[in-house]
Amino acid sequence: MILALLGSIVFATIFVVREKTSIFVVFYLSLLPLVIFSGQPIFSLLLSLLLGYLLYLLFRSPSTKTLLVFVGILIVSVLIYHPRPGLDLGSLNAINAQRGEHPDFQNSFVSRLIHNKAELSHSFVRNFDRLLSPAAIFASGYWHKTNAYYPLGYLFPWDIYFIYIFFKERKDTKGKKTNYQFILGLTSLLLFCGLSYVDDAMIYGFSVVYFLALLAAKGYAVSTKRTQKIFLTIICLYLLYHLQVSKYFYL
Amino acid sequence: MNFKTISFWVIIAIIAFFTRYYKLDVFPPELTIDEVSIGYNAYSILKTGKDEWGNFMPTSFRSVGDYKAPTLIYLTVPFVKIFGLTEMATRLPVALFSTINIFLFWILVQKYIFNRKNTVLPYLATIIFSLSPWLIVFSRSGFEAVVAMTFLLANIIMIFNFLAKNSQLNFFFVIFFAYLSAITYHSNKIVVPIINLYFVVSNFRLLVASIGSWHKTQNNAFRLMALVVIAMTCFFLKNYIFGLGSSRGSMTLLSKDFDYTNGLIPVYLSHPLSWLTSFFGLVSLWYKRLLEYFSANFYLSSGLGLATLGHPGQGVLYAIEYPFLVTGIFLLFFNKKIINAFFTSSYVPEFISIWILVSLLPASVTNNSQHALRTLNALPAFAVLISIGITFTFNLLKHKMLRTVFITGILSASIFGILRFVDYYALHYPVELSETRSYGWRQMAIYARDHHQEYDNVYIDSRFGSAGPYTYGVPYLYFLFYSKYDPATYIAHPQRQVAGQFFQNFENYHFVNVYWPDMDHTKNNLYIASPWSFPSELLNSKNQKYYVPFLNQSSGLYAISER
Repeated sequence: MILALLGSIVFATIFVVREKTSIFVVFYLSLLPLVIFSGQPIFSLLLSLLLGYLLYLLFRSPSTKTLLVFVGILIVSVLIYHPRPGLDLGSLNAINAQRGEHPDFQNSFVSRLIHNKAELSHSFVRNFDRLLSPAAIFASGYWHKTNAYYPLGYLFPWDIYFIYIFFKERKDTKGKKTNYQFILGLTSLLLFCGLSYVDDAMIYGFSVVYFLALLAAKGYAVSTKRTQKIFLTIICLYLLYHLQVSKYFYL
Repeated sequence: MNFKTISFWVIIAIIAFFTRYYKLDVFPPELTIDEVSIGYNAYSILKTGKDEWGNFMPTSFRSVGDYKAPTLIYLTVPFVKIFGLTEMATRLPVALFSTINIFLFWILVQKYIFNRKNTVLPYLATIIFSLSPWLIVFSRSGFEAVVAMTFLLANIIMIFNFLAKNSQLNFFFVIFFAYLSAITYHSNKIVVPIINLYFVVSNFRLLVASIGSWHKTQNNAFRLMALVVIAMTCFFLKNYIFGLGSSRGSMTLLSKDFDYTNGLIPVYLSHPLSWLTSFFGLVSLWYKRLLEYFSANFYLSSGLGLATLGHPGQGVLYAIEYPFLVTGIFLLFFNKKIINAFFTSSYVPEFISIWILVSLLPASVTNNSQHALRTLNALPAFAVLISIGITFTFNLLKHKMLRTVFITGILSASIFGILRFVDYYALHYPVELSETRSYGWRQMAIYARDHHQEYDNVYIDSRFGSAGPYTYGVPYLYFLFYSKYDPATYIAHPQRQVAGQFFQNFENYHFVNVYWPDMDHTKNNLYIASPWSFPSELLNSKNQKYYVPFLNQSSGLYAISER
């Protein structure tokens, strides 16, 4: 956890310096539940943070150079971790079973039109939801070695408000060109997240979560100093509470 | 009426007929437990003026362990009078109210929601609303939520009408429909007050000025209105907040959720500060339940639960609608300038935001995750946002060819979505979930009705299911319903009158747990139960008089006699 914390502080500091935001943001970003509780090996967690940070850079100031670095790191991560496909035999069996429920299913046009491999997209949605649904991100994510019922998100519950503030405060983007680099980066992460087994998909899912954390941090940074201090206190209490209680939920 | 309007209403009539009325008694097969209860109680009211427990014109109908909202049961009475106690008569009121919903939705969006410049939007939104799988599924069964939505839409129309005309009568109908909606379905006891409270708070000055003006100019009418409103409020509070009508709410609270009682509480209790951890756990669970309504699977894959868990299923929307809903929500919350151009005033987007958030609230404070029925009130607001998402995207495309491709794509994907939904609803839903939809009790009730006089006793086990005796039903209502058993005789049974007792038997029917060694085998009995209630040698032998397998062939119900 200490190594994860140190790594996170490095990213948070780079973010604060580049964005010229309040120093409180360093604490805010370093103490994310994602960092404290993830239980991921340090290298894969740092890889997630790096991909998330690069995605943020693509979002803020898109450039082909950043995109190439992003793609390069993504390829390296695939070569290292060999993510296993998450659309497994069980899903195919379910599709075949549903096709079999049709009378004369072997010749039925409707059964073949509806119950084919395109239905695997439902598995994609399911995988995706386990890591990147709002409920997983802000309320109750999938944590390794922890009781599935434990209500702890990857980000703080109130980050949803700060992300809202970020988009609200965002300057008018009218006239700006479509950010293809960001769309490409985000889409590739989402695809890897939905198509891989949940254990392997965490690297890519956490990248997107960290990107959202950076948006929340921007939202946090534009609030008043008083609000920032209050939330920092709440964060400390929140983390102390979960550090204490989560022990009871370890499997 | 011009050609465009006539064509539109012809299309709506065709949609309404095929989605709400066509083969209404066949799809979905079998009445649910709630439907037979509604049907038989309506029959009982018609014949005796009392419910099945002998209560005269009750304000809440006693059911198994809780109390049912009364509106739908009373609305079913004339249909039972006209069509008899049939499946069609039981389902027709909801189908009819669902059709009324389409008209009310049209009035709302055309008159009060969309800016007159956007001439296509009301048509598009109404077609999306009328074709919604979310609404269709609940319109073809006896679900009170559909009727409650009618009154909610009427309530909202009256709110906007009041804001436009400032009339006293409109204000009265705002309150009238609000109460009617809250009485009709439990979720609306939360949704309706908050929406109306928002209306009051956001228009407080106008309301105060209006009330002052009515008091001066129309004193008698104002006094009469005030009296009626006070009487309605007292009636509502007495019966549905503090009375029996609130029992359902307390039964389904989030604190009774399986995840909480079985997953969290046992662990929290081992903590020294268990009172604190349990409380935070409950709040966190509520937050999780609320956010689950923003998960993609609810809209795309499993929201309507038309398939076995883990199988591909049907979400509450057609897949093609989802990206446009996301676009619409994004515009609603983050781009005032664009969204305001679609609406009649800047009040409308605020109202729609509140409408969506409030509609998801009741389901989040009750047990079970992603409950499509309890969140049905969000549908009209979602239909508005989907239509805005489509129009906004269409307007982004400047090239004529791109626009043609866009429209063709949407139409093709919609046709595929409808076909897929029909396939799931008409074919997979009845098969995969036949057990949970109480499949088999109708056939058994009809068989027993025709043969029960051949036996001394008919013993019926209320437990059923392929996994073992874990699911409890209320089969007596099926036997009453399909026998059209005289309610007066049923109510008059002395044991039916004993307070606190749940006596179901009538004629020679006995509703008990069939445990074979304990049964009286000296008499000529017929037993209706699941396979695990019988010695295996009796199954598929000459003693087996009738068998209704579940449609997925996992198990079924058996009628067995020893002679």
